[in-house]
Amino acid sequence: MASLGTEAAKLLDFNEKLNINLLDEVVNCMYHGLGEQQRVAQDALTTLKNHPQAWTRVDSILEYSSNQQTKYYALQILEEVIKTRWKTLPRNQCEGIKKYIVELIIKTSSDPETMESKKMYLNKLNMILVQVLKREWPKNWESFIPDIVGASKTSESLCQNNMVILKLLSEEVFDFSSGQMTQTKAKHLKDSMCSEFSQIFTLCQFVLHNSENASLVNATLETLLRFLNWIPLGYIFETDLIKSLIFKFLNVPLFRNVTMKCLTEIAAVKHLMYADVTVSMFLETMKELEKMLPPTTNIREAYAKGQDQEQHFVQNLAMFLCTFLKEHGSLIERKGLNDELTTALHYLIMISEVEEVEIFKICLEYWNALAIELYREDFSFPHFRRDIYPPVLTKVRYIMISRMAKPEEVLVVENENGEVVREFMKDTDAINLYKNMRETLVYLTHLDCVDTERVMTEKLQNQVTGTEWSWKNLNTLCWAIGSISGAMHEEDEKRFLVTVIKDLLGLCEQKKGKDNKAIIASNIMYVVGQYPRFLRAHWKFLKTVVNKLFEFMHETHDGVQDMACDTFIKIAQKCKRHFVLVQVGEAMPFVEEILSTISTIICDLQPQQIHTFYEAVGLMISAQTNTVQQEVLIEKYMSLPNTVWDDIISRAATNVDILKDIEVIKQLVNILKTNVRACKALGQPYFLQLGRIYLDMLNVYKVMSSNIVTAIASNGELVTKQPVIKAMRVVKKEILELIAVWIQRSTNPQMVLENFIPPLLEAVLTDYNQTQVPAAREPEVLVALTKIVDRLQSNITSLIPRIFESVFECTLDMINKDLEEFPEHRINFFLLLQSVNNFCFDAFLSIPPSQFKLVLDSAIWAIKHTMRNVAEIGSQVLYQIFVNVQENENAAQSFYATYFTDILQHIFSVLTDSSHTAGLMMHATILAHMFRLVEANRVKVPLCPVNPNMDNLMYIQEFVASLLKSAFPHLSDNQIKITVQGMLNLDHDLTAFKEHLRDFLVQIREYSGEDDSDLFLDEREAELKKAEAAKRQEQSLVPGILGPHELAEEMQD
Amino acid sequence: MDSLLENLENSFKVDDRPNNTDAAHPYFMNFYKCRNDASNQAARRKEFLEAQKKKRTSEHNTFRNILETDSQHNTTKNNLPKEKCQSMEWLPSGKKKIPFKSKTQDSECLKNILMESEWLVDVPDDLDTRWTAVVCPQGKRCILVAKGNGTQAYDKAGRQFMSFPSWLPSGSWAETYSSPGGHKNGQTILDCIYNFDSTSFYVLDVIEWNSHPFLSCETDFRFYWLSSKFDEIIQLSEKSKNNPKSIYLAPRFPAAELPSRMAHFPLVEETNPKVDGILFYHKETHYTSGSTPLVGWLKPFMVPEMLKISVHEAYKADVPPNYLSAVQFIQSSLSNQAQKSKYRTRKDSNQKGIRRGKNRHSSSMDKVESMEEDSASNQDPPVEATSCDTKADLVNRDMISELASCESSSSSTEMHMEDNAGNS
Repeated sequence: MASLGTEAAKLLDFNEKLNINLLDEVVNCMYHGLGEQQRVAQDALTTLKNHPQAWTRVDSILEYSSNQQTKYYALQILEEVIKTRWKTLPRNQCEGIKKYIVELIIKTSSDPETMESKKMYLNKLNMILVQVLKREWPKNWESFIPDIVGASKTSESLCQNNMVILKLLSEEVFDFSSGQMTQTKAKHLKDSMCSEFSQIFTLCQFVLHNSENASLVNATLETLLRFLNWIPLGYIFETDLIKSLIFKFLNVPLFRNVTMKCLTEIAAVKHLMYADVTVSMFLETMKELEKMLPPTTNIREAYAKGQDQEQHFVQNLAMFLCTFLKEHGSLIERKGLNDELTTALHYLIMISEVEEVEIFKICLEYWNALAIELYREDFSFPHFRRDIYPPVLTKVRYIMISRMAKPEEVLVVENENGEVVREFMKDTDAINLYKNMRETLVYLTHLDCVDTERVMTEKLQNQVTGTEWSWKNLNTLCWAIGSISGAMHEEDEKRFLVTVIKDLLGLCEQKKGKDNKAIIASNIMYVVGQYPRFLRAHWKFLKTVVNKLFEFMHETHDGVQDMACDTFIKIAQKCKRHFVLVQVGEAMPFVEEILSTISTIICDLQPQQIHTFYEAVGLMISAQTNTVQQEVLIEKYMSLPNTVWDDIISRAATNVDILKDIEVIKQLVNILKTNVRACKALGQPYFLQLGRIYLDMLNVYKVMSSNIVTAIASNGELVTKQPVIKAMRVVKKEILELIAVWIQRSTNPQMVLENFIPPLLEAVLTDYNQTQVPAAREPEVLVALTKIVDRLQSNITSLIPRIFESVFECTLDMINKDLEEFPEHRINFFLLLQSVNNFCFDAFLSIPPSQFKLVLDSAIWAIKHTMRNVAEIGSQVLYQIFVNVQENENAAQSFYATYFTDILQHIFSVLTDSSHTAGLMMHATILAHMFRLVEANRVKVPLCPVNPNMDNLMYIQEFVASLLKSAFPHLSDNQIKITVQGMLNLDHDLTAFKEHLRDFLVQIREYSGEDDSDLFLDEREAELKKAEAAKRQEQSLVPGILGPHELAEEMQD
Repeated sequence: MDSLLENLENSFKVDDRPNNTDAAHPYFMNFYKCRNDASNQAARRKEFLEAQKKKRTSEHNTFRNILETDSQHNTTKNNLPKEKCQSMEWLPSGKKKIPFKSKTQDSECLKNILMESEWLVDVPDDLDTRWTAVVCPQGKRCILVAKGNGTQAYDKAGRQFMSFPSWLPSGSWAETYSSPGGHKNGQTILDCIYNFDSTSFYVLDVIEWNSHPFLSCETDFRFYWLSSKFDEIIQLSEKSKNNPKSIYLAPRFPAAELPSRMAHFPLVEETNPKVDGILFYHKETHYTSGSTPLVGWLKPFMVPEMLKISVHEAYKADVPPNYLSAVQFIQSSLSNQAQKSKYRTRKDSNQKGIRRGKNRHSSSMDKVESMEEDSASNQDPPVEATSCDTKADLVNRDMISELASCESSSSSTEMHMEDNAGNS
């Protein structure tokens, strides 16, 4: 087998007869072989597949090979050739392939047994046929629909497979056509299908009426399901389709799922003309449903015990009821069909209790819509509504309250092992569920707050008496209680909350064990934290709560400290002002009491909890409006970290080596992080503290930096993995973060620029630039600079050349070798470029042309990245440069002269590269902008390098056309002409422009040969002309847009 | 609303420890409510001492086991719950890579092993004769572990927060190689306060010294041992390359000296860290994990009222702003207490206190929230006063059994450490 490679090479010799056994052997090796052999086999098969002649072997492989996998491989070859090179094949070959496939399908599907045993193979054949159809039908295969309908009558199994083909075709044309075929093409196929649909429909009806063959009926229903969202409505509502669905198939277990799905599709159609049919469909469905699933069934239990099919039915039923009631609920109300409506709602309630979140989400969507609708009607239910909905809504309240999802801010959770842990990842799905449930419950509370309160109180009593006691149930209930904050009137809310907290406190006292108590305590604090209005109105209560939190900050039981800190900051955010006021009965503002005991409060907390605590207190201090008093508070507030800071700084002054001690570095990190949080909370007033430590901090920065550089120089880059070095980098990062965070929040750009920027640039930029080891350059420097530019904007323009000099070239040098290395530097670099471009564009005009070229090259370099965010930034920068440069006519013209065609070329190269499809929108934006510029004659300098007299518009058209022609020689001249013309005609309509580009991208994937009629280019051209006319029309409405010579005669007067 | 506040303040706890020092002192709360913990602190002290006596023999046996052969180690080891066995490695050894999240697991054994004080609520009659006062500086309560040529500091939840060399036995390479007998396999565990301002440790108590466990030694002996060792190893208090954090013995003296000591300010002259409070150790108590009534806790400003001694004015500087009314209340309560049998009168005065407190409170609350009606709280006091008695008793019984189990688990922890030491 060592010679597998050489053996396999024989397969590629198209002069020899194909050795089927050898091929089988290679395929077998590819599927079942190991290691090297498998790789060799795979390579051989890939080479063969890509060979332009490979498809000529397909028929013999299919005929002679006995291995299903080999046959499948042959079909892959066939599919590939159809997808890319169909148009280049000689017509007779096409016909041959077509005929061959059809015969093969008929042969395979005529016998029910082979059809079943070769399912995979047949599916692939079907798919290939559909690929052929997309290219042949209707032009080269007008009779396809009559053919397939006719053939279906010969045998039931053949008919069944034909249904599958029709289904696939419907999906390809109506569901997945975008980006796979050009717009005109898709429209043609849709029209063809609609116009010939009656034959298909007759066939379906015939099967549904007459066939006793279950799998055929099933396939027909599945196919019908795909049709329902596009066929003309008459077929649905003016035939007996609905009746046979309901009476013939809904009650047959085998068909009920697909039937329910069909009915759901029909329920989604809203058309006044068919109101009566819709109503009777509902009534009849409900009647059948009651027979199949009596309303007394406990659906929750049935679901839990049910088989897959039964579970799907519950889900499909939920979809049907929700869709129907949402679209036609008011119609049923108007008809006064209260009983049926009540039954339907009853089913939905029961389904909502099923413990499957996906099904619940379906129901939730409806309950949400219903609650909003009822609320909008201003609580004044018309009479019939008053009878129906309130009892239903009560049940919905029970469901919402007993299933409430976890709110985003609850971070301390119980994991699957029953341990209490802190959650770091955000579960967006769960967050959305909470948001929807919360919204629903709030509306439900508005509709009847007494009832909501009653349900909650009752559920809480069940916790107290123990009938429903569990951690999960208690959490859920408390999240529900917390979710309706603000929905009740303040007085009601207060009364309610007092009862709730009393009960919870009772529960906490009643339950034994720290585990239980900790969970209850967390819930009490969660509820309390959700009601800031209550807290603000009751100072004594607020103060007691906060003191309790301080007490809990010493509790070592898992999660309690986290909970205390999280609640504390939550309360601080909402009630901050109350902590700096002197409250009734108090001698001083509470924040002062906190500050005087701060070291005792935080002594048992972990570093990140201390940071949270500091941010919370900072928020309180930020609420002090008296500057003098605030300064006193800030000084006291920062005194603890400042003591340690001063100590380290003074020790470092005598012996700088202590800054290499890991413990000292860790302390610095902690102090800096505390400062960052303080700064976030305080904003501008933090400058007092920043000023105090600023210069020392920059010195620490320099020392850390030189320590890192020295370490790398003497021990190599691996040393950066060591904890000490990592910690030193963290110190640098935190220093940069602190400065950036404050500048972002500063209110006086001039002051920042004069006092804080010069030392910063001196220390940080010099360090960055002079660091010889690229890996040691701190990527956060670029982030900090970006934030600073974003805040100071044009104020800092004059310093941009200095910044660029230090960071630009040396960073570019790190990232222009490839597209991956130094990812952090890379993205940060481009972000900085973007900010400077946005806010300090003038700086670009003042730098030497060689530097400007670097800027532009970087932007173009960025769009070539496959890192999506980098490419996106690059496109935005490029577009913004075009926009900005327009402000300065001279600069603009020289910019166009130097770069216009260059940029055009680069954009087309990424546009047509399939790894950049995500950037299509931005590419379209830039291209459309560029075409507009030329068209509006904004580009005054001649773009054509050889003939300066040539019109720019004409030149650009020619330029693009030749560019495309040379890149895609397989496109016909006509195709290119239409493409370029479209770009000009559609450049005022971005969406159309983008779709036009998308069409172009579809075309370049296929060799069309001489025959491009399939692309309906004439039609496309006509459409483009229309677009052009519309554009003119629009422009003509703006006086002066069109020159006098362009105006029509009658408008001259 | 009032009763809600009372509930929130008094009965909302995660931890059932009586007279929990993390919460406010029962006498100095804004809303004083009848709690029997006060009067029963004396009774619980007796019970604790009794229990300690009974257990003595068995505890000795336990300790003998630790010191004996390997086979016995294994049996004790197997008695430990599973997850604790994992935490055998709470002493991170050398360069061993600590896997993610292991930090908490590693030190599971150290979680909650510290002896915790109660607020000194009932002043013992024998305070002057059988109690030692320890001056406790402000800072973070922690466990210092010297082992394997390094010293680690753990917070009371058992999470390591610092690592450095020290002159404690086995606390650094320098120490290990300078001692003639060698402390190579030794282990020292101290109960400390870490003071942030002075970046120094203040040793409160000793749990193990160079592999000698002190758990079942009486306070007097433990303190004697500590002070003689600290006299001996003078390097401990000096910051140096091999001892970058000063380690001091927290100052201590017989409780009887308190009046003379507190006539001066500051309490501690030498290094002058801010004093957080004063711990009162009963001379006979063993070192037990968890809360015990045999160690009492007072803030300096509470001393005059609680112990009725006059102190330097400076101690009163830290009096919290709302304290004034509480002082008056306490004084009246104390004068009553002085007259008759303690138990009875205190309860009476308490109820008086409630009424007084309540009036004052409701008048101030009226301003804040005139809308409020409060029917529930009016009926509270008499009912609670009686129900409290029985409930407290129940709580108490629970506490004792809990403490008993606590103690046994801590001693098994101890065995465990010892075992580990023997292996390494």
